[in-house]
Amino acid sequence: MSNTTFFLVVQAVNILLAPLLLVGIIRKVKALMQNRVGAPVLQPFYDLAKLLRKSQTVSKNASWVFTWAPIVGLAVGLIAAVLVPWAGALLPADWAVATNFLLVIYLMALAKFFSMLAAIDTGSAFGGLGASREATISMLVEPTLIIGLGALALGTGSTDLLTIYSAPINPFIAVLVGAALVAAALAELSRMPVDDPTTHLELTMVHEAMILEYSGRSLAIIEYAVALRTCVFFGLAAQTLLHVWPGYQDMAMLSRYLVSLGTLAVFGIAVAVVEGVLVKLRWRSVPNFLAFAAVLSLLAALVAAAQI
Amino acid sequence: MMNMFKRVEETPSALALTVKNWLAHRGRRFGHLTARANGKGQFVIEALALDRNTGGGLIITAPLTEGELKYPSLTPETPAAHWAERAVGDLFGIQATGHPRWKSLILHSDAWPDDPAPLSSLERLHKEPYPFLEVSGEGVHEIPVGPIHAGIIEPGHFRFSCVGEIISNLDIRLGYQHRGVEKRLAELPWQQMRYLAESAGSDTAAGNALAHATAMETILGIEPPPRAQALRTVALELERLANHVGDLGALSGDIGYSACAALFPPMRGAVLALAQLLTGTRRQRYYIKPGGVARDLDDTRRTALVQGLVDISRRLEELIPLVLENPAVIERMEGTGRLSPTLARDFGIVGPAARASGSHYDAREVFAHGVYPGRAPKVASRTTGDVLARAQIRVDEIHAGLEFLTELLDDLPKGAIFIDCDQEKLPLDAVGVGIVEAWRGELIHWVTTDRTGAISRYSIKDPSFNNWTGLAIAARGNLVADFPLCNKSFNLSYSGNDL
Repeated sequence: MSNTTFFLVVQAVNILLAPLLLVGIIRKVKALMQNRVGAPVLQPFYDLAKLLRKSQTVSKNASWVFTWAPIVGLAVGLIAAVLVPWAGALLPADWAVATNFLLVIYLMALAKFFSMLAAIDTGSAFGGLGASREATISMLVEPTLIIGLGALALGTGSTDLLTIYSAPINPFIAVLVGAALVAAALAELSRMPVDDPTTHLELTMVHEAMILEYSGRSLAIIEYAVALRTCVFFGLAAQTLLHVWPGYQDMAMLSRYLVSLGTLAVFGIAVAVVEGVLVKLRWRSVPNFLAFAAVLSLLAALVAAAQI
Repeated sequence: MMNMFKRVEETPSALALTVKNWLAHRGRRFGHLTARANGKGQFVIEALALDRNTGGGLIITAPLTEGELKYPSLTPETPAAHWAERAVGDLFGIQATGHPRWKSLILHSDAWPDDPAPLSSLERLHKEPYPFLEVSGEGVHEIPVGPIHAGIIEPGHFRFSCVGEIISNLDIRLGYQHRGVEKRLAELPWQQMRYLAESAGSDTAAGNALAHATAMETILGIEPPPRAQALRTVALELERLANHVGDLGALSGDIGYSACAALFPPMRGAVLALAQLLTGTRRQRYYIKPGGVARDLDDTRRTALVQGLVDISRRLEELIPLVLENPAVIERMEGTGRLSPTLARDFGIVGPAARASGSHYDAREVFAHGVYPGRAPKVASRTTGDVLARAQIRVDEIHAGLEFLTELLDDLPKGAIFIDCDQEKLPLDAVGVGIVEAWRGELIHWVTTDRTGAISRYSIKDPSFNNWTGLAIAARGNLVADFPLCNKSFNLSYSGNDL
């Protein structure tokens, strides 16, 4: 078995484990931050198992979109998890063309489009509210992602994520894009300071308002897809920031893989700590926060353009 | 010392004008309005008007002609009466003609079936649907929330009319918690009333018990011993402290500030533990009673209480700046949910919510209850009327309360803790009004006896009864996403309102 095949198998297993583990770590650290014992780190797995065994309630008004949207979300999440080198560049080089960053971003947008449709589908007022907010955030996050990853692409001369992350990146650009991606990921994943994932207040929710109507298997699929996206987005940001460290490029594949996973865990802990002390932004200030991220991306793009 | 209320009679048609003229003087405010059967087959409408200058006021009684179940509304002249008149409409079937927003308040068909309502004041009532104020225009949409909510809170329906993310109107429909408290209170032997009276709003058990005791003592003409008055005040102030501290945590939770949302609840628990030390129960049940208090405070427990307050005070010194000196928190609270002083005054908003909007009214400075008004702490007041001001008022009252509690406990009068009055019979045709500054604000228990010495009407005005309107006004023009924060800054009672 070649080295690459070995890593692909490991990665396949990892796609099943790492996302939910990351969610578990974030929740555990958050609980510890609040002087609580918190649920076990493996709780997301138990929850998933529980939800999968439960029957689901579907509104009489819901159409096929409602049942299919979670599946689209899962499919897109899995594709993205395979294509995006969130745990180091593992795919064979001839796959590079499939990892085009525009393809990945707009695949994600497709899933989001379906989840917004599904939120409106049941006619619940909260679903509409959440979907409209989600649309606003997506619109504001998109430039950050495109320009940020575009800046990296300028540096390597390729829009393929595999090529981008296999080559060295100018540390200055890596820091800027990394920071921009972190901010974009927080918004995209409906985390603090944009959305409070733990709130019970429907009127303040973004992502949670959209999935209020889901239960049972569909909810399990959604929760897992969200965890996948968390891994992919934080992984992208982590890979970018890891490139600041010159030694990372020269590491053996195994060490690189382990360092990547370690960084992801550190990201989880950092997110939990930050969420513990942050105050959620007023809805009107969310564009300012995302504009800040976009400016970082833009700056990176200018630096990259100047270097060509 | 007792609150003195003069009773005058007026015709229903002159009621609105009499109340308006009497209230025109400085320092007077509308207290409450209700109806009762006068024992001659007639209903009377009764208005309670308060005078802050004298610590008493006026009760204006207007007998309705037999068979005539309507009277001209007070609301056009005295907006603060608007909910009271609608409650009378529900509970007695008496209509206030000319009321600008006449509709049900408590017994609407959304919450109640069209059956007899055994606990309402009439035998059988027809339940009306509850029409919401309709807002029309481009992009206006409605968001219905409740009556069942996601959090563990009481039921109530909120209907938001929004333009995009902005609230243009909020209609609050309550009544789901109506359980006939007032009617049941009038049926019980008076010695047993206190157990029910203090559960009119369980988060205000000490406040309700004190208002009840004060009203009954006025009727019975007894004066509890000074030690009892001091101990009651300790109970009332502990309740205020616990709830204000809890509110700071809840406000933090609503802006996703999980650190403080986790740090304040244990502090509230610590205060409740002190309350248990004083009264035997954390929610201070069965403690305050007509004639005094049920249990004495020995010196060991008194010392423990004082020490507990010192510890809490020290810890709060560290915690409060985490909220109110955090720029991100201030950014969220400043300018959010503004209630203008004019509207707060017109609609008779009470308590911390009123004092955040420029009012200086604190019943502790005016009306007799506990050691008040003789030893009232300084009144906190702010003018901005936003969520931040309401949080700051709570902090001011926490500081003042801690200081005042220590002062009270250091200098407890000696002597008896109650006067035994259980054998007393209630006098005929008497009225007692207990007015307490509970933690949410002015709380009124208004008790009237008939010509046989039985209770003919027991009316409770919870501070929330005034303040729900304040919340509806404060929410206007705010972001939908900021409503929970506005709501928490008022933190109103559903059960206290629906009774």
